[in-house]
Amino acid sequence: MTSLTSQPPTVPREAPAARGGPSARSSLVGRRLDPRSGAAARRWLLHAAALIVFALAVAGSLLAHQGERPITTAIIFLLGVTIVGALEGLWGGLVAALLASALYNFFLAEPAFRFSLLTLEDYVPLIAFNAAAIASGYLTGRLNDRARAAETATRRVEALLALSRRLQAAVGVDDVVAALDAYGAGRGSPALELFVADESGLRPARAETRLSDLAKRAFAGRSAETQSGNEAAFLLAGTEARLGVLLACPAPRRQQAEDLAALANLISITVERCRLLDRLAEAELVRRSEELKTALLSSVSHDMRTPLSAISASASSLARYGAELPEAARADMLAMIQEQCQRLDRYTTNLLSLGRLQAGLDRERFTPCDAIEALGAALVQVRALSGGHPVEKRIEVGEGVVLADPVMLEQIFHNVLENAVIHGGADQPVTVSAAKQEGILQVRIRDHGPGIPAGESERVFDRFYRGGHGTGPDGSGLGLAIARGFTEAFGGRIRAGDPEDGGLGTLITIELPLVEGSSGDAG
Amino acid sequence: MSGRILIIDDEPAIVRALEPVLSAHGWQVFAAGNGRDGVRTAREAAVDLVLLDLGLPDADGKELIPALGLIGGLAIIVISARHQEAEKVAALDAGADDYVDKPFGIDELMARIRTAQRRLGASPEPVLARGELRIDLHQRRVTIQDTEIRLSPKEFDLLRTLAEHGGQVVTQRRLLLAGWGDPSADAQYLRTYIALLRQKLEADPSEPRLILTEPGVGYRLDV
Repeated sequence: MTSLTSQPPTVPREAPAARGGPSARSSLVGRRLDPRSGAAARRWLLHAAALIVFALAVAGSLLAHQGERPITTAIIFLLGVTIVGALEGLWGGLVAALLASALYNFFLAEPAFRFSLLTLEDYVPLIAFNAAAIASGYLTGRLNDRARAAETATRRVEALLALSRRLQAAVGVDDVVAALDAYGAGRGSPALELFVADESGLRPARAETRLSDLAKRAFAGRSAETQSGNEAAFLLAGTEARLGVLLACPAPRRQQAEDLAALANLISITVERCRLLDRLAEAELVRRSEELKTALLSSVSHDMRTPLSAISASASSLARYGAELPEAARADMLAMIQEQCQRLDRYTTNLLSLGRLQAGLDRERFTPCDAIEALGAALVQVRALSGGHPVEKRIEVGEGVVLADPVMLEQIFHNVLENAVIHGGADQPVTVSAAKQEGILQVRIRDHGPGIPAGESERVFDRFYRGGHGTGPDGSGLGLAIARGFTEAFGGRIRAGDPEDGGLGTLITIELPLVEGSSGDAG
Repeated sequence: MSGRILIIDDEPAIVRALEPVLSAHGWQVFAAGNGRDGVRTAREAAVDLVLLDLGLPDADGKELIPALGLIGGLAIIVISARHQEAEKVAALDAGADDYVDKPFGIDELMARIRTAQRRLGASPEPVLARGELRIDLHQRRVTIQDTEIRLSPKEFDLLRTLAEHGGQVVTQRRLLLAGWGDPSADAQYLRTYIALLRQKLEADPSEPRLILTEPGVGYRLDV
C-alpha cells in the first residue's frame, strides 16, 4: 500500500523522515487497511467456491450423461449455474451460463465434441437449455447483487447512525476525532483527518497530523468538496463562520462521497455545538467570578464595617459622654472595643486565607504536623474567644501526623470550632472527638444548634454562605469555605451533616490522610 | 425631651455600643435581632424612632420600611454601609427619614436622632434661620442680612423641599419631582439648579456649608 500521507507538490521532498518513519501514522494506515484486506480474502473465497461448484456441476453432468440421463445432465448443469449466479452476482451468473451452454453444446449434445447440430429436434432442447441457463444465471445473479447492495446500504446507514450517536454525545473536538476513528475502523473507509479553525487559523485536530495544502485551499475556497490528486477535502461550514475541513485519502467514490458529505454536515453541527458549549462555559466562569466579587464586596462591607461601627460608636461615646456614663457601661464599651478588634483581625486572616486559596497552595511546602496538637491549640483559642462556651473533648488518639501547613491546619479546626460555638446555641455544649481509621484521621465536631436546613449541607461550604437562623452574631461566611479549601489542599475531606444520634444540631467531619509510618495510636 | 427608640440590628455589639449613651440621654431603648421581631416590637412598644440596619438575617431591611410606616408616628433612620447608595435611595424612597453610614461616630448619630425627633409630628417651621440666612416659606422670601435674594420659582421650590425636610437628606428623585414634576427627569437639571442656589446663598459656593451633597443619594439642607 502506498503512504496515505498527503504530499503536496509545493513541499520539497525532503526526506522519508519528514513523511514520518514507522510511527503513529503507519499504525494508523495498518489499522485502516485490515477490514479491506479481509473483504478481499472473502471475495477470493467466493470465487473459489463458485469455481468448485461449477467444476462439480460439470463433473456431475458428465456422469449423468454417461448414464444416458439427458434430463438429469441438464438439471445438474442448471443447478450449478444457479449456484454460481447466487455466489458471484449478475456477471458471474451470465459467464457461468454462457460457459455451461458452450460446454453442453460441445461435449454433451449430439454430436459430441463439436458445435454442430443435425436436426430441428436437436435444436429445441439445446435452445431451451441455453435459455434456462442464461435466465437462471441472470436472475440469481441479480438477486445476489440486490441483496449485497441492500446489505452494504444497511452497513453504511448503521455506520453513519453509530457515528451520529457518538457525535451527539461529543462535547469537544477530541470526541469528534475519536468518533471518526471508530467510524473509519469499522469499514473500508478512506483515512479521515479533521482540521478545525480557531482564532489563529486552521489547525489539525490531531496533534501529530500536518496541515495539508489541500485542507488550506478547501478552507479558503467556496465549494463544499475540493479534490486534488488522491485526496478530497470537505468544507465544514457553520451557521456563522467556516469551522474547518474534513480530509479524506484516498478520495472517496460515489457512495462514499455521499456518505462523507453527510458526515461533513454532521461534524459541522457537532463542532459548532462544541464551540457554543465552550462559550457557555466561559460565560459561566465570568459570571461566577463576578458573583464572587460581589459577594466579596458585600462581605467586606458587612464584616469590616460592623465591628468598626461598634468600635467607632463605643470610642466616640466614651470620648464624648464618658463622664456621664456609669462605670460598668464604660468597662463594657472598652471590653467590646477589644473584642471587635479581635474579630476584625480574624476576619482579615480569613480574607488573606481566601487569597492564598485563590492563588493556589504550594504542596512542596507542606510538612508533617501533628493534627491533634493543632486541634488542641485551636480549642484553647476558641474557648478564650467564646467566653466559656462549654466544649467537651473525646480524643482517643495521642498523635495524628498529617502532611500540611501547621498554621492552616490549626485554622481548619479553629474555623469549624468557632462556627460550632457561634451557631451551636447558647450554653449548649460543643463536642469534639478524634479517631484513626485505615490511615485516616477523623475529627468530628458536633454542636446542638438548630442544624443545617435540609439540602444545604454542601452550601455551608460555599464562600460567603450564611445560614439564616436569625439570632446571634453571624460569621463572615468564610470560615467553613476556608476550612474546606485547606482540608482539600491537604488531601482530606470535610463534610457537614446531621448528628448520628439523631439529635438536633450539626456534625462536621474532617478527614485527613495520615502520613504513612507515623507512630501508632496510643492514648 | 426623649422617648422610645428601637434598634433593629442582628449585631449585638452595635446594640451594646449604643444602649448606654441613648439611655444616658433619656431614651428608653428596645432592641430586635431580626425583621419580624423588629416590626412587632415597634408596634407593641409604640416606639418613636427606629434605627434600622439594612443587612438583616431574615429580610432585606428596606422591605420592613412600609410595614413600619403603616404603624405611623415613628421616624426611621437607616444604618447602612457606604457603598450601598442604591440601597439607601431605595430605603429613603420607601419612606425612611434619614440614614447614617457605617461606621458612624456617636455625635453624627445623635444629630440625626435630634433632627428626626424635631420633625416628628411637628409641621415644618414657616421661617428657617441659619446665621444671617432667613427662609420664609409662607411668603416665599429668602434674605441674607435682611437683603432679599431673588430666586426663580423653581429654585425656591427646591429650597423649600430641602427646608421642609429640615436637615434630613432628600433624594434626587424627590427633588426632581418637586422641581419638575417628573422623578425621572435628567439629574443634570437638578445639579444646575443646586449650583445656582449655592451661587446665591452660600458664602463660598465651591465649599458649600448650607446645601450639602450626599453623594449618590441626594442633598441635605444643614440648618
